[in-house]
Amino acid sequence: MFWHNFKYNLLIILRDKAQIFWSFIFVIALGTLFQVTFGNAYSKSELVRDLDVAVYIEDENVSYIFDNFIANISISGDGEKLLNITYADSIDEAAGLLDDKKVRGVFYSEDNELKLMVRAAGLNQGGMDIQDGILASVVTDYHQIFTVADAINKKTDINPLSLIGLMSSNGDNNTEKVIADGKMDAFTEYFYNLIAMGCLFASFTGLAITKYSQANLSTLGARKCVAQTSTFASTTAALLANLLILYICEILAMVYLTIIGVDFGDKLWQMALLVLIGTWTGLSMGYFIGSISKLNQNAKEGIAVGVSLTLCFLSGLMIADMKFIMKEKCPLFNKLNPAALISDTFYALNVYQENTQYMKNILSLLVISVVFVIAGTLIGRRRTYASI
Amino acid sequence: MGETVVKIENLVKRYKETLALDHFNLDIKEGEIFGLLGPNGSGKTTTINCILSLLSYDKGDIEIFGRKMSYDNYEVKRNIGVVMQNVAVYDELTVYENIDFFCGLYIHDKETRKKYVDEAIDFVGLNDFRKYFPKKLSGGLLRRLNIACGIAHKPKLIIFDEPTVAVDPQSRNKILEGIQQLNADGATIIYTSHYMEEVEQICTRIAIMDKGKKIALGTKDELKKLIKNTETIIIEAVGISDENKRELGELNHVYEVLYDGSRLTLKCSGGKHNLIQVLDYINKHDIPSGRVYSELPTLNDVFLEITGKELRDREV
Repeated sequence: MFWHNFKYNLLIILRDKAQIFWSFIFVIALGTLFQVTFGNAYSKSELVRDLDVAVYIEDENVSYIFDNFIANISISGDGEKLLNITYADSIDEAAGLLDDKKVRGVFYSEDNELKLMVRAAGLNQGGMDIQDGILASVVTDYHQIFTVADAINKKTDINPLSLIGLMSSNGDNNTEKVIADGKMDAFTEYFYNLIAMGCLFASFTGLAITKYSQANLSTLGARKCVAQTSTFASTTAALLANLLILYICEILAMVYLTIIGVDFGDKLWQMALLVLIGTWTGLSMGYFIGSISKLNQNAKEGIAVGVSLTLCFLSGLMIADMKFIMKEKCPLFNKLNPAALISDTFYALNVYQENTQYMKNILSLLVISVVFVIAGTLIGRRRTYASI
Repeated sequence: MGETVVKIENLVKRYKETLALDHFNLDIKEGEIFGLLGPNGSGKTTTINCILSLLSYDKGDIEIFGRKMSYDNYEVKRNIGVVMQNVAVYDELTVYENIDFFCGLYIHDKETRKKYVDEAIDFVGLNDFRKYFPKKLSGGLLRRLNIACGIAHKPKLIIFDEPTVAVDPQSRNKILEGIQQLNADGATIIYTSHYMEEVEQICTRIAIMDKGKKIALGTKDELKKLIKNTETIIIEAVGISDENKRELGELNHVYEVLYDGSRLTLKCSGGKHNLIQVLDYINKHDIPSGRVYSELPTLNDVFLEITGKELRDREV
């Protein structure tokens, strides 16, 4: 009886074009769009090497400190040169280099402060590109570090130059966690959130399972309820069959995204388990929404879509900083948001070698899904049909 | 009559303040085609849902095949088939797969199931549509698929809840013949419908419900005896005066005379020669007349007389 139900539920979900669209086609379409749009922009960051700049600093104090600062930041962590510096003898000479497009920007001093000059279409006209942005951030970093070093210097005997060197270097004195092979930048996080969205879209199927298993929600549900098969057996078969197909959809979407250049890292088995648990969480969320309310099916579908997208939004699918805002303002919600948990777990897999965070998040997702299933089942069982 | 298949005793069901079933009793015997009639809101659907344990009730007992019915009494459920008013099939499955799926909820053995599914497809005449998806079927074919899904597992009790709604006359006839065939093959049938002529055509016994109560029960002839009207005479005639109407109303067994300017209608209660005496009167008074009809009461007349003619718009 279970296998009979399971087999036919596999067929039903495989032929359900709408669900396959949302769980697979939509995810890979959005992923492709991400990759084409932002992947290109992101690869431009590779251009932020060997930036030609001119330096003319009249003020001796600024010059002394800036020289030390710039010496520390000019070489990146991987040993490659970030800035290619030409020292000018006058501001006019520096400006001339800029006009001749021989340098990208000019660092100069004015009223004992470090300033940046870029070409007219750049910073001052609101048309700042990535390279201008990097140069502007050098000035910002300099001011921040100078302020801190100056404050420390006033209270201690530590040489400000050594402080600046320490603070602007790559931090040899900091112990860095060992990082796994995967990427962990904001760009890759979009894809973690995209997969999280695909997992939560399984809620639409969960909703359909509830509809077709309860007599008061559909005639099909009524027909199944009068049959010689327990609702528990047929619902379990439906949930597992749908889980299998939607899981395969998400895995195929990840394979596709990897082929087009997204780097999910190399912890394949852990990721496979994460996607399985994530899809199950989405499915159980839909099952719960389907059971909880006396609203009509369209309203429930609207709620499932709204909740899924809101959770993804709050985990940073649309705005990358949103997850960090939520972490800061609403840490408990972030720990209960399945989308945030899924993308966090991907992140944890690629950042930490040990699996503590991964296991914590997996456990949280499992607990959330079990709560959804139990609550949905209890609500469904306790219902006395008001009208059929 | 055979053994009792469905026994309902003192069934009470409330929806908040509304009393949907008011100490309702019913006995349905083996081999019957039992018609359950009633206006909207009379409690038919509630009764069916209580029988099927889809609905909890406040008081009373329901026994099917001599055993108390409950939602987890799967042995009893094995012998029940339901054909819902709304088509209940999966759009993603073909005709064959739909019937096989629902049959498989009862029949475990693959070979037996295959045989049953083939027989059900034969029975409803869907052999040419085995690989069709429901969306490709016409309304009538869809209804037939709906029936096949409900009866493929060869139940002993089949409940048809308005199975011919929105069906063309050919398909309706096929469905009614099918129900009679199922009955002839040994199944007990419970049939609900708003179409009186269908109930009159196939049901061996009929219960009329209103306001949650059974207000009449019997064969169609027994029910017809419950009402005053035994014959309605209709004559196409012109120039009927009030005097004529009064005198016609005084004829033996005539209890109501209606005239709309071209049609004279006389309702009679009892008597065997009402038409002759009415025609005698028409001839005697030289009233110009055309076609003459004599109609025996229908189940519709019984239904309207018993339940009243006011509109009902509440479905419980």
